[in-house]
Amino acid sequence: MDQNSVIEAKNIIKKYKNFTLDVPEFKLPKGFATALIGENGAGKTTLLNILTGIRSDYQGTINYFGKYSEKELDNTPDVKERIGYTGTDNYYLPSWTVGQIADISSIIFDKFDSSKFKKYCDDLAIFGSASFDRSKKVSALSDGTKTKLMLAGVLSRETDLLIMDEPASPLDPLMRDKLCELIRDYINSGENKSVFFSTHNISDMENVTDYAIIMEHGMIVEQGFVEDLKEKYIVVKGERDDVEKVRPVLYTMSQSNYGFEGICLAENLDKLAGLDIVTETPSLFKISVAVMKKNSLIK
Amino acid sequence: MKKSPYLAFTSLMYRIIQILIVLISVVLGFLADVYIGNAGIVMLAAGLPLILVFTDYFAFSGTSTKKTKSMQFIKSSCKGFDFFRSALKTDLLLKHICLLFSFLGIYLAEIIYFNDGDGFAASILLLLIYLPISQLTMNITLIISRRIALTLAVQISVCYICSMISTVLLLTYSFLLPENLRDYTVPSIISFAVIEILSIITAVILYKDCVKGYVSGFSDT
Amino acid sequence: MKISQTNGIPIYKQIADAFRTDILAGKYKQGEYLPSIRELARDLRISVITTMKAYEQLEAEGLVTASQGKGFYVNAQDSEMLKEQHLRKVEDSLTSAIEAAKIAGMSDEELIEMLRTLLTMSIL
Repeated sequence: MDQNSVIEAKNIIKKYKNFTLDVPEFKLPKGFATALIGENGAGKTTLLNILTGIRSDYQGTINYFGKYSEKELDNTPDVKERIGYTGTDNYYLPSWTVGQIADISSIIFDKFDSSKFKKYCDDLAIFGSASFDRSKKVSALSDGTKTKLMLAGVLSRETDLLIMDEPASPLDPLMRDKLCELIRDYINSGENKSVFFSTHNISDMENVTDYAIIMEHGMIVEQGFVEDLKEKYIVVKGERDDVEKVRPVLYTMSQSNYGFEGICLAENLDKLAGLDIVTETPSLFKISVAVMKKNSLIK
Repeated sequence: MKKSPYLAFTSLMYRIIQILIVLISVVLGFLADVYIGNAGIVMLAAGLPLILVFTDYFAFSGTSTKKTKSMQFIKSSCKGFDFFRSALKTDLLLKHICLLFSFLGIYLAEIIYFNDGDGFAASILLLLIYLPISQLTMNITLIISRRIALTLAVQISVCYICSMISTVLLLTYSFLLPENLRDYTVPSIISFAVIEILSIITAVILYKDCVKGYVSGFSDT
Repeated sequence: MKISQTNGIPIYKQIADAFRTDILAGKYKQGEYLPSIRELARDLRISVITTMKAYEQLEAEGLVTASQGKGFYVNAQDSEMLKEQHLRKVEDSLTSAIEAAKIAGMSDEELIEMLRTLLTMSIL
């Protein structure tokens, strides 16, 4: 077990009728925020569910916090107690009220703090301008507010790892900014606090992403620390006349009437020497789109 | 102060409805028996599991439907399943007590109304037979609906067919009973109590893999 | 510290530049710790890995040293090195001045004359 990982998984395989999740090796860096990026149906939720122990029908081994195996998830309370998970749909039952959520959380989690929960609910304006309302039903909340409620729920516990499935998607821009702040505060709140989230909103989350894992049709196609990825890939722009010369060298590219823009692996950059090109450091968004494009089934 | 799982899981409205079902079924059953005879009881017997499945939809969000399998919040806790099981056990027990009392109520009313002592003994036996059969009906409903049913409507139709079959079984059994019913009362009570306990255990085990694993579904990748 | 997301200079470089200036100007004393990586990331609203890379760059330049579990502290800045750093800066600035002068079509004499004038002005 690598000292610098919080979760390590090997040979994870989960088969569906026309889809297979196949992850030979997976390491989640300790003390960082990691983003899981990929198309719809790439297997992100399946991977997150397997790692959190919500789904147990898969092959492979997982090691948690350097000491627990996946078999200990359900008989060693410590593991799940240290992982805070927020999902997408059907996380809280629609018939529950906010009061029930607080009651149930304190029954099933040892380190759930009801007063903290109340405070987060107020801070995140879950009830708008109204005060804390125990009788508010989950089914009456909007998707964004449900996400806020999940965040309030996990942040009211003492955890070492947050795993979040698409936390940013249902949120408005202001709340996305707040989400980034919450993640930074969480990482800064103690030694070795880690965050793992899947997202489609790469640009919004870029300033909080340390490590990125990109998935396509059930496989991890690229991963690394963002700053390393930004050195591995380079944005190249140039004139239309050079399109055919650069095409075989570039990783991905798109052309227009005025020229081309593409992503080039840094190691191949010297093959473009002598051409009239401009290079710049790519954003995580550009890297992700390039990697996804390269591996996607979308033509 | 931590609440009991059952109280935390269910709403006050659900618990009130549970009791109302008892009261309403006693009145309906009694009226049915007075005006249309045994057929009324049969109809009520077939209808009760439906009502129970319906209330399950409100409190447990349809424990037996596919939706429940994605109860991510409960599954993200180590204690989640124990909590869920405890709430379910209490709920199942209460459902049975509800059924028991509703039938008891009907027959007590009949005794008072018709002043019929022998009818009472036969009725108690029928009642004891009916309870496990109704439980079995519900279990079958749960198994089937977990595999195929997606909506409340489908689930209720499946349950309706099951309860019809169980009522036919019940009637067949009651015709097969010997003349001197009283001799069979004690063994009947014991054997049906055993079936009763077994059926609750089966239900909980069935719920367990319902909550723990996933059956299939590509949609939630 | 001012960080721009859009000026084209990588953020880690902007951070490293800011700290380098502060350290060379003596704002951080020898042995003093820089802010912790995660704290700085939170305050600057950027990712942890970016601040980490900035600190690693400073470490590679020999300005700071990483101490296991405690962060980065400022090294003794010997005068030779300080001088070296400043010399490099002068060189850089003069180079860009020369480039600008070429574009403007100034002759070498004109450029030297301008430098002389500026020097006398800065004495005053």
